[in-house]
Amino acid sequence: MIRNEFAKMRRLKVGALALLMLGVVFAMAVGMAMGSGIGFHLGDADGYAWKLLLMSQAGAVNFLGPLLIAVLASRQVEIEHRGGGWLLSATAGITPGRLCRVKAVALGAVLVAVIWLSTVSLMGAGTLLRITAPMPVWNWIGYTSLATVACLSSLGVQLLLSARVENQLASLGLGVLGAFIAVFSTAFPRWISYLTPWGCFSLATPVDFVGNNPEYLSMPYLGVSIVGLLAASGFACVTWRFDRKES
Amino acid sequence: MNFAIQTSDLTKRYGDRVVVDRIDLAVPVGSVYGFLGPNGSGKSTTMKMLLSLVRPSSGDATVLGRPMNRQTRRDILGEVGSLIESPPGYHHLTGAENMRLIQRLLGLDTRQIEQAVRTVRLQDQLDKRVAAYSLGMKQRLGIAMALARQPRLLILDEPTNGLDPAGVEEMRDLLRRLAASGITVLVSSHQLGEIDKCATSIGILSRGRLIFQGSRDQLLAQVTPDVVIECSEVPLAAELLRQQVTARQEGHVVRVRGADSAGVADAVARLVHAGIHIFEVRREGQTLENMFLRLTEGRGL
Repeated sequence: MIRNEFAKMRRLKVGALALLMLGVVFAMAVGMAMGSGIGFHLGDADGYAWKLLLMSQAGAVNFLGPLLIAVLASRQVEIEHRGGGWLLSATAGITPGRLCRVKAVALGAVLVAVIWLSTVSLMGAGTLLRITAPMPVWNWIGYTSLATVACLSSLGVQLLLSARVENQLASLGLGVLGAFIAVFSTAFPRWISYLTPWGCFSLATPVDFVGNNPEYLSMPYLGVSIVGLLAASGFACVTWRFDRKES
Repeated sequence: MNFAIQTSDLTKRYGDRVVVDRIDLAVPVGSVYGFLGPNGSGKSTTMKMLLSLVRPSSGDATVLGRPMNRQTRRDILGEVGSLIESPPGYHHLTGAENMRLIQRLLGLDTRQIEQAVRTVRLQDQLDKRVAAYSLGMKQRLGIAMALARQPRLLILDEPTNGLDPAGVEEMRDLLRRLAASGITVLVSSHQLGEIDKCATSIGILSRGRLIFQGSRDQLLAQVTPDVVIECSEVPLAAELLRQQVTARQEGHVVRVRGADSAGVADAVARLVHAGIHIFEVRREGQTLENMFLRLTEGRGL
């Protein structure tokens, strides 16, 4: 079934969109880091340059991640609405909820690949730029893990909305709102970020300026994991209900 | 007689509204069963209950000898092909890619897919995207998807909907060939003319109730054909006959409904006794379409 979901991605430009996201995150992150003067700090012993790169990656992912997720989810679900795919699967014994879960796994794999490849490519870029301080591997892994949770949690919500509401403008609109939340929720009290999956993007932000210097922030691993678990449970619950819904 | 489908008091209610009302379907093995009824009479809901896509409010259904329910549906559906509502097909993929999805979904081999495609004669169109298919081609692709599992039972919901006359004839031919190959076919339509030539059994649903079930000949024998009387003083004749039988003026003739031979003789005697001149008395030729319209109280068109 998962193979079928990948086969359905053909001509939906899912691969191209994923590569575009990867390229734009890389370009935005490097561009923002350059704009913040990374070139002057390549030799700083405190890893100033790495911190800039990591912070720029988070900024780019916060902005682009929710949009990409909305587009991918809506495209992958819209084909079921248009092509009678829900009924086709149901008459083969595959319930709508199960189909949603399979879609989550297939699209989740694409998103996980994009987010981790963006991390690897930026680590490579930092190395090529000859940053002399040791690479903060664990900070980067920590950030990428939390960003992955944020991506998968919001993917679940987007998939459910796309499946429930046939007009995919609703799903795309939610994606835009999600990007807004991801980018700007740092300006609100921290607890607000825990209320939505998109808030987790901002919670995952690993570096921020304290005065004139970028500093590592303490990462809310437990809090984001709980949000992820709740999102996964909610997704399982709603798709279970889909399974019992009459066609 | 062996039945591919049997239902007992099958009922579906949505709130207070009864959509399917205690129907007892009996679809013989190897038959083409024409499931007829006006739009909104409950055909699609019945078919969905037979596929366990909709839960019956009461009653039960036996499909291929096993009770159909949530627990058994997966096994049974492996032997039941279906086409419900609009024909399925991912528009951005080609016909061949759609068939490969079905192949993987059901774990079929390539020979089964090729055979299904050949049966619906779509082998030359498989490289086109479904978005470029005509409605007839989409219907055929949908049926190929249903046939790929080599089902013992095929359930088709209004497969002739939207087809031009050539497409309808092609569909009839396909249904005949499928029945000849031993597949039981349950096919619904709101137009009798579209399937009466290939159906071996007929069930008629009206307002959720099964008002007829049997063979074509049994249906023809079910309702006594009307008698048409050409006479002088038509309004008076109609008025006189209304006291005795169901009669109405229809242009220059009087139409008498439900009269047997004795009833016709009485009616003629009454008119003659009243001094009305009789020019012609004839019993109308009975068509299945007339039967259908009468049984469904004119809601067939």
